[in-house]
Amino acid sequence: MTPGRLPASADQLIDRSRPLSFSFDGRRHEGYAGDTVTSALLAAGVRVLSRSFKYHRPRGTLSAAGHDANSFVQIGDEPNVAADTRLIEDGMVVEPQNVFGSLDNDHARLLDHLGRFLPVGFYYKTFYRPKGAWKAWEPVVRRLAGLGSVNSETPHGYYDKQYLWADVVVVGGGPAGMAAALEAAAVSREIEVLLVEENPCLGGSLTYARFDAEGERAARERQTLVAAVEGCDNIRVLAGAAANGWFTDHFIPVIQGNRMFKVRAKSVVVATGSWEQPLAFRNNDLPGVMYGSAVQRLVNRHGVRPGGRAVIATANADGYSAALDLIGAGVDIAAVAELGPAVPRHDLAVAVADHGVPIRPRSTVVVAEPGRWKDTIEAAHIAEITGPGTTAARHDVHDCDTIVTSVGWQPAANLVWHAGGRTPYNETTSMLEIGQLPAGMHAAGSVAGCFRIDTVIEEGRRAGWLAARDAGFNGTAMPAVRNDRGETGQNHPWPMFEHPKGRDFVDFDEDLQIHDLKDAVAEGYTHIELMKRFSTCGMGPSQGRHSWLNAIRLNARENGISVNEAGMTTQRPPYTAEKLGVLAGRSFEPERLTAMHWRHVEAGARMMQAGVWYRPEHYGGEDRDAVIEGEARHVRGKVGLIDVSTLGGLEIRGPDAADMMERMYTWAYRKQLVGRARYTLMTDMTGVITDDGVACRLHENHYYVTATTSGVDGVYQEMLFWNAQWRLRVDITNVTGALSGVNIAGPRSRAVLTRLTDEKLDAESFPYMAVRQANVAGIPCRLLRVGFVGELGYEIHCPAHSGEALWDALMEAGRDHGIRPFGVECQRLLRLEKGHIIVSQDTDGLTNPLEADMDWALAKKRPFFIGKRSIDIQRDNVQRKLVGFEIESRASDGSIPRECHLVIRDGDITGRVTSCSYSPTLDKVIGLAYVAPDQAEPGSTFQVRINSGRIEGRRVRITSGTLVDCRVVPLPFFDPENARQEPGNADP
Amino acid sequence: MTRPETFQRRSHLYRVCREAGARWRAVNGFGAPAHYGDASGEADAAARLAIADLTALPRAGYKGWGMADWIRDQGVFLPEPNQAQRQDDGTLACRLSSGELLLLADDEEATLIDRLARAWSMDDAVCFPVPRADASARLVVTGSESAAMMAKMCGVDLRGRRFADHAIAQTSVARMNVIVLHNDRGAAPAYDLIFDSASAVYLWGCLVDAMAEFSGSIVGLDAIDALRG
Amino acid sequence: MKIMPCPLNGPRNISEFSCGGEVEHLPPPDCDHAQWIDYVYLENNTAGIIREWWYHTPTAYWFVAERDTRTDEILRTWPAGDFLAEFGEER
Repeated sequence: MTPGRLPASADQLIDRSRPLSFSFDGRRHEGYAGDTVTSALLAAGVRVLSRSFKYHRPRGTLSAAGHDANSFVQIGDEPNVAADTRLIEDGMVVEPQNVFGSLDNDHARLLDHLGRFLPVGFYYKTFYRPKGAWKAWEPVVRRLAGLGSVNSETPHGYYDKQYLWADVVVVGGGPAGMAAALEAAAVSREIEVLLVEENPCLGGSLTYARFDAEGERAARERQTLVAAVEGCDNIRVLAGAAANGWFTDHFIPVIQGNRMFKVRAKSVVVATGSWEQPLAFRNNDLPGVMYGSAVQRLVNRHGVRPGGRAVIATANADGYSAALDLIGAGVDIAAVAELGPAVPRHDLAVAVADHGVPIRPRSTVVVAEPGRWKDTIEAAHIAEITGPGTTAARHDVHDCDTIVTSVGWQPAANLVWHAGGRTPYNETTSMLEIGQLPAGMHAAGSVAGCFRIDTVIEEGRRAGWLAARDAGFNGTAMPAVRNDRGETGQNHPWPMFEHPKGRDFVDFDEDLQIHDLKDAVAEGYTHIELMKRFSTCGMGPSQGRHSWLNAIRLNARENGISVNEAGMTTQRPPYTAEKLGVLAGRSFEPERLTAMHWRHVEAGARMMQAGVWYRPEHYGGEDRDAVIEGEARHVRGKVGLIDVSTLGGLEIRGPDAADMMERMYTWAYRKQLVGRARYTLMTDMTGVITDDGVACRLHENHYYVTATTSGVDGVYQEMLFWNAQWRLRVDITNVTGALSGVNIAGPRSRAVLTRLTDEKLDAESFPYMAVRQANVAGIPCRLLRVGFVGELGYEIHCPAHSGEALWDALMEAGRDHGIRPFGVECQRLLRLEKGHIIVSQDTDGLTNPLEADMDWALAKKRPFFIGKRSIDIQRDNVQRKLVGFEIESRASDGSIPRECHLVIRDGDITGRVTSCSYSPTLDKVIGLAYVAPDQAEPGSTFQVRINSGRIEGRRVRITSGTLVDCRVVPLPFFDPENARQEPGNADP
Repeated sequence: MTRPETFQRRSHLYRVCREAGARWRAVNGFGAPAHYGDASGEADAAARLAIADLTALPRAGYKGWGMADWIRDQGVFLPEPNQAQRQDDGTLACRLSSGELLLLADDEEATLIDRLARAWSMDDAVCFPVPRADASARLVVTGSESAAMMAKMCGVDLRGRRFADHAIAQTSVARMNVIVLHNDRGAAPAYDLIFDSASAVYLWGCLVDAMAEFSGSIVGLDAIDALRG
Repeated sequence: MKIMPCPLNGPRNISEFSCGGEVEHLPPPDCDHAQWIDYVYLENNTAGIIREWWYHTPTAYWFVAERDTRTDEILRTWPAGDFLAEFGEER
């Protein structure tokens, strides 16, 4: 008999009425709905799925469950898909990975013969001499190593996330998990149970394992449990979904397709089963060497006969149940090598013996004899075990094409480890066993070390009941556990038989053999964490699922310590590989738009991001600098309008409002007149400037304070923080989004505004820094006469939902005055001409008001404001000063200093430029910079090193820039008398 | 024909609604989306899953250390924090904290909101108006699938059995601060979302995207009124 | 994700909150520079039970939480007013 398809049976998971066609390595194959890529290929006689990572050895399925990288294939643009678990689809194009040429004729397979040049840790030592060698080797190594290929042109997939709430989450839909879910659901009608199963259907081991000689028990239990779960209203099943981690307070990401469910539970049952473990012997990686559970999966789930003639090596009952399934599938069993001291007497072993199969106790498979092309098995060598890892010299050779191993299990306890639980090694059973569990977590089934089906179900029920109790539900009695755990499922203590010629793999992903791990310890990487990193054992895609139990045993033996002393490496989420798309999900990037946003877009504005806001940088034009300069000339010559809605706004109201102001801000506000505005400067406890703005006193007990666009949330939070402690009778409200704002500025601004309001705007009625509440175009507004850009100007703040109407009215009223909108960059230039700082551009995380030359804004007599004490301490130790400067001449390529270019004196840094621009008004290059205190007097000169210039019109970074001479000048650069801000002078 | 641009007050969403085919009616100084061409079909859709822009409807807020005393003096029934209570005139009084109240009207008529505005004065004030009408946008998510859809954007379990009618969650929705009010419309589950008006276009886009898998709809005020019966 | 039991809003994802640092009292106005610098710049970094200010962003709500820094377990929370009433006010 050869590999192929078995007759149909009711319990198989494939639908023979739905044949599907797919291709692998360029050849067409047929399969059925419900087939995995692996099962469909095996049914077609294809065993080689991939080439190995390092030696390019041919590999086939080991676990038939995706527990290793052997079955990794590329499907379309998707790399590293486990063929073992991916269901086939019609027309699917599957390609092998890590192959040069074809799978059968991989040009890189020669690497297998060069193994001695690739010792353990070779990438730490092989390619580094002579100096620079790695540069030449890297592209070669990167191409040879590595798995699938990423197509950077792949269209964006749609991924998202969703919260899901449950009282009890049961992870694992096998017998223990289903029993747990049912019991938890039975405790109360109110309880919500979520059952998460990694496979597309419920059943777990019941879909493939055999629990009786007759082979009837599994299907019967599965039918009963699945029907009960499906009939239960308060159990929700998520199948084909991986619970990929445990995070604090039972937060469990569950990935199903392109969606991540962010599951929040009150308690958790871990019923995640266990992974079968490999037997290490020479050529144990040949296609055709499979776990007992793998052949059972193939036979019972998919109706596939995995081979023609098999040799079985087993240390537990599972090998015998696999033998019975193979016999049922028409596979000849050449021999069973029983690793234990005697042939067991249980029903399964008796049944195998009854089929006339020779069973050799105290024996193991030691060599798999490869066929001519090294990708098939010709025979298995069986030898007597003489001690841990040692065998007799005599080999009995059995012809076969398949070798099945069942030598032990390892709990899939990832969620337990993530939650801080431990799994100490039991020297009697040779198993890792769950010890103390974290609060609210319970475990059942084989993950908890229980393999006897009656007991598994009973322990599952009890775990479900306990989890329901932890979730706050009771009402039923705790279910009893009547059966013991029996003797099945025990591990062989040393399933590793080293061969002098090696190729006895411990880690298939990383091509690590027994001697590699021994060598790592011998080289001094003795600690388990060091051995792991040096050898990369367990660092491949299967993350140690099939390798670390043997690796720890090896480490313990080489170090002469116990397995528990060797310990286990730390396990962290995720449990299975997850796509970056799943982690990213839909991107939620909040954006704020002002009420006038679309008017800017319609006017051709180039919009820029300012924190979460969008603001007009400038309006239209190819030549950015020319457009900005044009906007500036227009404001100085006629009238411009800018959207300042993003400015922060806070209402400070109550009898203690003035007290609050004077504690939070550096200047004095108690005596500020109602109807007047005043500059505000905020510092933190260390005296560093954190924000600035304007305070408008609208009532004895009411200040309306502006704050910077990016600073307002922090200012608001800070004020609330302090008043949570001070308990002043004051209310603080953030009204940033409630108000739209514009600044109309320029000599004709009053003329435009007069058309829309009855408020008197003459200098006497409405002086500089006055504040009025008035209607503009019928909209109730706050009118501020301010001079940030150094022209006669009015800030108009109105209710946000009237913002667009206000903008429209001003543009309309200003049409015959030539009003034009101007952008943020123009405003920055205009304020620079006036020497006004922008907090966080002209200040940094260490700037105090003394450095910024703002001593005038500090209250001297008041004993306290936030930051005062720290500023006073620094008063005698000012280390830099912010000054205005002009440049004497541009660099030879016309470049001017930019933000963050350094002030250099005698080769040392004494400061840096914070703002610099060509001023069309002054026809000079002006800027602000920090300099040493002795460079700060007007008339002093200093040099700035230009680190960027223009090459072919593009600004580029220049590492050895030229030095430009700068001269300190008094601020402001423009209109020091503020004459232009007065209506009498400015009106045309 | 009514057009939103002819009104002085405009929702940040009027362009988005216009692109979706809105037909408008005057509401509280706004041109508000009444329906999108199929008023009766929209009511059915709203029972399954829909969103609507309710920004035009009246709302107000009061905040301060003396809010509870003052508001009770005005004859308002004040619920516990994070609960809402329907007042005699139909206004919902939503208590956001011990010292903050949000008032929402489900109709253009808002007797209580107007009366409080007249009664409040800065002199001797112990609480202060919060400009909710402009600070906030108001959307509603209605229909049997609304809680399932919200679970894609919000970390609070909003299903009726865990979050009763008139419960309030002030939480993060699509990474924004949102007041979620469970405010059923007739038999249809419904959640009002009150949040920063400048972010209305952003959140609307998130909702439209999230409801696609449920075939959710955009509906007008008429459909929401129809659900209320 | 960790859950923070907020005194106003109940249990919520910790991502809705930010920590404002350990509860500390302003030093008296007549303190010396060393005391002031200690207050401004130095953190206790206690391994044990500490009380911290926490801020619930959606409600702009400050409160105090008691947390064991060794286990990251949150043991107790207070509204700011209740905490100050119990442990003394800042003025």
